[in-house]
Amino acid sequence: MNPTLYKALVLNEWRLRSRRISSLVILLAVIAVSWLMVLDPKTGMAMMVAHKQRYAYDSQALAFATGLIATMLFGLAGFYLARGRSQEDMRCGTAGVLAATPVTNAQLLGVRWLGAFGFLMSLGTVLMLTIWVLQLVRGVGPLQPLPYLQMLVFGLAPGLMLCASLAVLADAWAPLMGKRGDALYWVLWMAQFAFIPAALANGPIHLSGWQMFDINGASPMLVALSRLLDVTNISVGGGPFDPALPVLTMPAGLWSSDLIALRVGSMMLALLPLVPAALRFHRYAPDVVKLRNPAGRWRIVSLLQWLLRPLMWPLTAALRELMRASAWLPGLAGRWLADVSLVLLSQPLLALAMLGCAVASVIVPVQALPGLLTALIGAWGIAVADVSSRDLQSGTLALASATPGGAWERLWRHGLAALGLGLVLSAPALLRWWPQAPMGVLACLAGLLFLSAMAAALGRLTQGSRTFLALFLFALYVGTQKTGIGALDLLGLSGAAHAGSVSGYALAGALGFTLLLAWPRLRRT
Amino acid sequence: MLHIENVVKSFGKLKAVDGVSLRLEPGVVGLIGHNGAGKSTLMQMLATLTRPTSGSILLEGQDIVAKPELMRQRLGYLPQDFGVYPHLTALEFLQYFAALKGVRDRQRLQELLELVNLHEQANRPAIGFSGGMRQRLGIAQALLNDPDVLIVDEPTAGLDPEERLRFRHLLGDLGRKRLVIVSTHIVSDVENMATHLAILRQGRLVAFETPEAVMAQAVGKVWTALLAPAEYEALRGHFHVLQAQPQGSRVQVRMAHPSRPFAEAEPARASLEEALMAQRYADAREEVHA
Repeated sequence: MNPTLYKALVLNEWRLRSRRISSLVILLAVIAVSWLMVLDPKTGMAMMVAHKQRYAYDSQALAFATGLIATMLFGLAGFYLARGRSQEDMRCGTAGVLAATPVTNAQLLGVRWLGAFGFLMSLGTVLMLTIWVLQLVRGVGPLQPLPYLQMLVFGLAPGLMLCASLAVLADAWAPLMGKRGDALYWVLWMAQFAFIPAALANGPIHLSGWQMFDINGASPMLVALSRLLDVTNISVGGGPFDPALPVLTMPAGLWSSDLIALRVGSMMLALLPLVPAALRFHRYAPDVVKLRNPAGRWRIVSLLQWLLRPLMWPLTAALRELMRASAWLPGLAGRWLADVSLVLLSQPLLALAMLGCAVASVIVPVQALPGLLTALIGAWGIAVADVSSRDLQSGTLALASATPGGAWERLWRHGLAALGLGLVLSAPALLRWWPQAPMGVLACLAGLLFLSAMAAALGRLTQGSRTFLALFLFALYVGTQKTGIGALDLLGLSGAAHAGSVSGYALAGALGFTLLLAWPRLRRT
Repeated sequence: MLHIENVVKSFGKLKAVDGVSLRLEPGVVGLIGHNGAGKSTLMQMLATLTRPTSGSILLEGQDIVAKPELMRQRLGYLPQDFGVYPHLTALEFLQYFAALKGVRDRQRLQELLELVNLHEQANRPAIGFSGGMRQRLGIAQALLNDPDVLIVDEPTAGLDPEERLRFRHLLGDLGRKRLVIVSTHIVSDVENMATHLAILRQGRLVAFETPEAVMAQAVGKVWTALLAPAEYEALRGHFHVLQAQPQGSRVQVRMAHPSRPFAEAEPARASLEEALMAQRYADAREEVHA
């Protein structure tokens, strides 16, 4: 294959990803989080604080702090943005055509990777450019391109390379093509945060070779920062400071040769998933992957279903009865129950997990309820992520839109189905939790309202589940950390939620449902 | 029953449906036209999926553009390209749509599965069905609420000849009691079952006739001749070739022309497809001469 063809293929990959609305939504979300993190010092909080002293918003500090947050967010969302090309090919009918071309597996996956990585890097570049603008608006000192460039190349790039490689692997290997791949990546992403306490908590702080495995790079970068500033405790992303103390300036020199070597090593590691991808690539073989059921059969799921037969059989039978019963409820109520039944019947393992959590929430001690709610809502979020995009993905939109209620009702009914399911399943836990933590319960209710509206709206807007899934999983992770920031405690699980954050999310949820009600009317369909 | 009054649907500057008016009564109506003629857009408006830019659609006097629920309660719709939910069996798929349509009769689902010959596959995941089986499941779904209006868009696309024949018979039977609107560009699909044909061209309704009337209009416009290959090559630019089949050293030609195109040409009995082609050819010639 000649370079012109390579260029055409890579550009095609880049174009296909960049023209998705989900890319814009995620980019805006990352920019918003990064900008929000650059707090106005008048509030008594600042973006970077060490020993009650804040750091000035110059190029060094802004590039580092926003880059660090971007590695976290893009490190998660990048995977969901980059993947899905195989399913796209099968949906569009180009899969067979591609498979029959003389392009080899390695070439095809190679250009996929280059396209995905280039696309993610262009998002990172746009983010860095918006931070330049932010520095002009709120920052100090001259604009220095080098810290931003270093952060982009050594800070952000390895994580994005990993996202691209794992996205290629998840698209190439049939068992990872569905939600299983999505969920597994989230676990992997969270596992990387284990490096931070391991690197910072015990003994003297120094860089070591094993931090190469922290490909997103939070732990080596924080260690390097601690070393550079000669501090053991630093807050990045929002912390209170003493305005009476002088403002510090972050010096240059973060990117030492040993840190760069570590990051280059991480880049090499990030490419490793391409090896199994090339070895396991299905090349759209119809006996391995099928249109609209790209995940094919996965032995572990089949095994789980087989092992759980005594539970699965009555559960599935009960869900079928629920579906039948919904025909007996009149009008909207019946259609709503049918949608709830569809969500559960489509994902019986998740339904079982959610029901298990709901039952456990009646038995476990009250102190364990936040943890149980985290698991329950985590499963719920994964289950409802495609509540409104399922019709588009399955090709049933026209069929369903010609039934009573039509497309207009169907969209907001999907939001209601997600909300209803979340409320019913979490009700036992919330009722028991209420006397101990009424604010937490209210936050959870507001969070469910907000997330339900978002699941339906983002699913329809982006015609897929992954934008919601990426943002939901990020919010769930952040929400379970002890940040002390109410706005980040979306579901009230970390105890930081307050009246302002609860009413904010409730209002945003209500606005979301209003948008769902107005949407098809705005489009005149 | 269903009155379509001067319906227009525009997408920007493009008029996909341009001033179509029809009065439809129970029976099978074949909506005929080439790709892009506006068939699917008209069907989508009738199925309440999209609204006309202007004009009205009345179901027994009631405006279904303003009150789409009136239509949806009595509608069965099978779009051109549809899918099924992964992980759901055929029966569960039907149960879901039965719930949406408020159909409580369990026996009805079983009867429909038998009608479309899927009763033995009822508990199999529908995602694994062949195109024909999926299409049959789609028609079962469309019939769940015993609709008064059944709209099927390109129902035989992708079916094998046997499935196609079965489908035609099924639609013909259904058309005895209700209004069945079948959109297709494969004329043979509706040749033997349609009571009326609505012919669309570039968004406009150019004819609304019985199939017999369409064929009667083609008398004297379709011709046949057995020609030597050299004669055929010399003459082919002077008429519209409908079919050219080699027969030994000669070519059996069927052609459309408003009058006998040459001395050896004999009048032929036109099929519905040929009649429509002849009509289209005649219209095109008139436009050129005008």
